Amino acid sequence: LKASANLLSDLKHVVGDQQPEYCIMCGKCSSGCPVARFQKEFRPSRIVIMTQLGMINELLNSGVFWACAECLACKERCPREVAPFDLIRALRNLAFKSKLPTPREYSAFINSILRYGIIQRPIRVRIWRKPPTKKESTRKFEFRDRSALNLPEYKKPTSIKKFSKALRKALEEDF
Amino acid sequence: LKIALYPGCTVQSEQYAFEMSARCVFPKLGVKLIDIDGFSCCGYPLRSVSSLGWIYLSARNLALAERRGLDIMPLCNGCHLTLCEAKYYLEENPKLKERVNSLLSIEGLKYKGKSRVVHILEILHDYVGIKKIQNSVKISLKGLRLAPHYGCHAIRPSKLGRPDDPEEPKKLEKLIEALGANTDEYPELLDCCGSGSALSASRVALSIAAQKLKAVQKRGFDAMVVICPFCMKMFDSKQHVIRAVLHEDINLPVLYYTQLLGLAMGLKLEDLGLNLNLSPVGEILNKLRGS
Repeated sequence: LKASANLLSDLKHVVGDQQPEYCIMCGKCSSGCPVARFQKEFRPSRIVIMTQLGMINELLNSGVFWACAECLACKERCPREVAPFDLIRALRNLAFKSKLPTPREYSAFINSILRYGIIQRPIRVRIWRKPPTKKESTRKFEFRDRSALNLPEYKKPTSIKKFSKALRKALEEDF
Repeated sequence: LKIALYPGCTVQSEQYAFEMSARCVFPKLGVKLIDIDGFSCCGYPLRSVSSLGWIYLSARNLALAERRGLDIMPLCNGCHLTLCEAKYYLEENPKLKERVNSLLSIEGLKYKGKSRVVHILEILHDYVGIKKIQNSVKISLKGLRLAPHYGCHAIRPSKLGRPDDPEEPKKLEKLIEALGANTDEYPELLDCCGSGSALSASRVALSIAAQKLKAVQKRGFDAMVVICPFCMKMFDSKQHVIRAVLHEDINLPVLYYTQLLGLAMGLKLEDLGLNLNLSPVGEILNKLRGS
């Protein structure tokens, strides 16, 4: 129980509006949730109630909250300002800090931002001879980059060293 | 009006059509877009793993715009939401602001909170206005029936002040009608694109997108109009994946509002990036030529 109490305060500590204690189990969040339509295990209201009941460890180990589509309908419509999405975000923060299984893209994003300032370097994209129609057989294409499309070159932060030092510090202080 | 253009990671690294068309149409409406060197990721991708990392990145970009004395216009609903959210929590929590400013000082930056974060819907609908947009039309889009898609992050959460109503948004509809095209309300208007689930539950993400595409197609719309690169990636770029994986018979043109506007202004298709879309946007061009 004591461990649960600490986890609850950790959850409340993540920046956001999460207030799981106010939930009255009306179910509005789950009924409007786009993920719940396709994935039975995912119910924002269940995540809120499990938090209320102190089952935070179980929640963290289940990783169920990663499926959230981040549409914010639950936060918008909750009559009690529970902000289920913010709770989900807080659980994700905690799971990542506890080194629990996390979609691997997040570490890739961090590494790319530290090196280039953005989550991926500009790529070459497919360009059709003509705007495509339904007949796929007529589609001919080549590849172009930003400069070939007359877009200005992407410039990373002016001092990438200082930038990445600051971001590293932010991440370390947070963990 | 001068405004700092904030393209964001996705637009800058792959969704080039949005940037190309935006750079074409805004100056024609009297909105000068200023590029600021050194903008980085808005922080949205880090929200799920580190709130301090996220808010530091948001504040950093806001500080760069502030230093130039400019408001900032992101080309992405996600960036817009993230910057607004960071601003809100920095205002609410002076200690957090102090911490962030000590991080920013490493680069010699300071966040005060003076720059406003503005959405393209606000610039087009509220600042430029419907009348001026109507006047910019050279080729009316009469005969096209188009479905607006706002994207969740443009309208929620209303607590943070979003560019349109969370349950009954109207601005994109009006902007489409200003070009001579028809729109209609449809029950799935507020449905999500699914993008947020793509990292952890890719099949769920595709199913969410497919459901909306199917509905829009079934209701007889000629195309779907979006204003966010993540929505575009789900509805346009992933359409062939949806056909292959979910065996759905979907073939719907999807394009950015800025592309549509440029089309009505009579701008060149290549300059608007219309041959970068993966969905069959050629169909609406054929329909326009036919009518």
